[in-house]
Amino acid sequence: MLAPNMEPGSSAVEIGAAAENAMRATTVSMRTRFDDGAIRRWVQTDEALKGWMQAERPATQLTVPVNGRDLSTGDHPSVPPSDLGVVRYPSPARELPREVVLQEWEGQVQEVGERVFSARLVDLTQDSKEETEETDLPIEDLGEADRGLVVPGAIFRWIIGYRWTNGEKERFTRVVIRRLPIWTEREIKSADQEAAELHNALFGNAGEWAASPGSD
Amino acid sequence: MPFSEMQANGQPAPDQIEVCVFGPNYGECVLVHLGNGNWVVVDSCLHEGEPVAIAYLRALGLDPARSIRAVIATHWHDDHYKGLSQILTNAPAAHIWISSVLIDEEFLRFAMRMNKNKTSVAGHKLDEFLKIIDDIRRRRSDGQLTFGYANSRTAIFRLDRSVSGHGHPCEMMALSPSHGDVSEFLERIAANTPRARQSKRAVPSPSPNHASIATLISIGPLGIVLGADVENSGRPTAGWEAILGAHKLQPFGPRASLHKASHHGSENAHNRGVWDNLLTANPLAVLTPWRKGACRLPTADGARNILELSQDAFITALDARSRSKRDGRPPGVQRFLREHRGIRLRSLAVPFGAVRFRTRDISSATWNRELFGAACHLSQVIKAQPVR
Repeated sequence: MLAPNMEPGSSAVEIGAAAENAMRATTVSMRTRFDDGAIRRWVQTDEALKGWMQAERPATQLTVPVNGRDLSTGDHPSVPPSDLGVVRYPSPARELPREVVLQEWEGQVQEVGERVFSARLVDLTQDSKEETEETDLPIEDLGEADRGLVVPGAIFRWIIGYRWTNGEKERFTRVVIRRLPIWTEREIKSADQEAAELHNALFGNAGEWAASPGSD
Repeated sequence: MPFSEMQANGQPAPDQIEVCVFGPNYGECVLVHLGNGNWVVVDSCLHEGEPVAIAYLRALGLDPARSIRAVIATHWHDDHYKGLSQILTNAPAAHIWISSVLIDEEFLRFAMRMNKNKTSVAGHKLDEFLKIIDDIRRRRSDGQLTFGYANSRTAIFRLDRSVSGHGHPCEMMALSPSHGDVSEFLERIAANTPRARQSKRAVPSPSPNHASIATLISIGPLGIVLGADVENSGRPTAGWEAILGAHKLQPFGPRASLHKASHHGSENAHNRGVWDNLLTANPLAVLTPWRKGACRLPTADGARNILELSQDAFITALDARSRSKRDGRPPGVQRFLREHRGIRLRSLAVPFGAVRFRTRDISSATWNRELFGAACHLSQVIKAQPVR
């Protein structure tokens, strides 16, 4: 939809809103060429959609008349008209299978055998922060890319849930080994600084603070 | 945990020595009553989120703040550390002892670098250690000299005969770590210290655990050895070999009639020299179990090693490999777990148990023993078949 204060053939895009006094400077006017015919058809389409949504009809009628034509009938029953000003792409979300996660764990690999690896699990579904369970999972169930990442100490997510693919409901499980970030130079430097300070705080002037037994 | 059962016989009398060992399948805590209301806590584990040491003392009607005189963290592994900071919060005047190796700059660098890894929901195994270190730093800056770093032959706690309640002097002495233990440990830690541009990973647990604090408690002629996680090293400078070498040069104290077997009774922790030189013949023995992945301690052979030398050997819990409860999970998850029998899900919440020893007869070392919860005679380990 065009903004009410906009003339056909031009549009204003306001960029950013970090600071009010910077707004004027960052307001950019852009001139965009629109095909007048396309805009007219867009407005007609929009009006047609509004009218269709407000009209009463049987619940089974799912087609939208566009530019006065019902696309479900006539010459082009399945091909969208080429002269539409706006092409509405199908939502990508609808193409992906929907998933409902029933159970999610975070696991830490303890041992890796030939066929299975054992892990301790934190039940994320229960908002737990403690390892409360352990499991043995088959290595062959992992994706190819993940198999090389199964080493003691590796962190993974294990999910059990339902998903719908082409209208079919099915149960699924997925184990994804996390690709952990690296220790950066800055983190190492900061950690070493903390360690040096801690060492000094704990053990500086060792002679003065020699340990002595608690006693009575 | 049947703390109510443990209350039945009340608190130990002032002249009574008590050693109480707690241990689920992952974790260990030992409480020792040295006499006259003076308690020492060695390591810590949790029960329902609370340190068992605190829960037990309260169950006996004791105030942890007044009762706990010293807390010893034998080493930094999380099966010995859980809840230690809570114990110190409840007993702020207690002395805290850690292995001297843990304040070496090499280990602190390892700990602080690992602490930059915040990628796991469960945190990392060093969380509790860093809390203890913070507590020690605070004590030091407050001028409160109630902390110490133990090495072999460090005197950790002393109680004069005039205040011990039984007329005998008490001393708790560290048997380890030796200098050899310290240098081996630091080498391993250096090899495991994260470097820049390496992928972050969980905290490893380099083993063996020679750098842990094993102790000998001497109460007049009575001896108690708490073996921590010390193992054999194969070298005279580290592990049990180093302890036995030092004992040969200068005996640590009286032979012990009660032995908390080291490293959960593992085969590599068994050393005949320890039984021949540090312990009395046929001593009482107790140990806690341990599990991680497919590994279980003690093994049947480990249990046999101990049973050959001690008729009265006990374990605080029997590992039943309990299945995880599916109840309470959504039906879809329950169905999935039922249908995929190749996937085994086991609960870590296992039956909890404790073994308690008490004696008033310090000269002849005649101990009374009580088993609570899942505790049993060590021979049950050999009979038990793991449930899969």
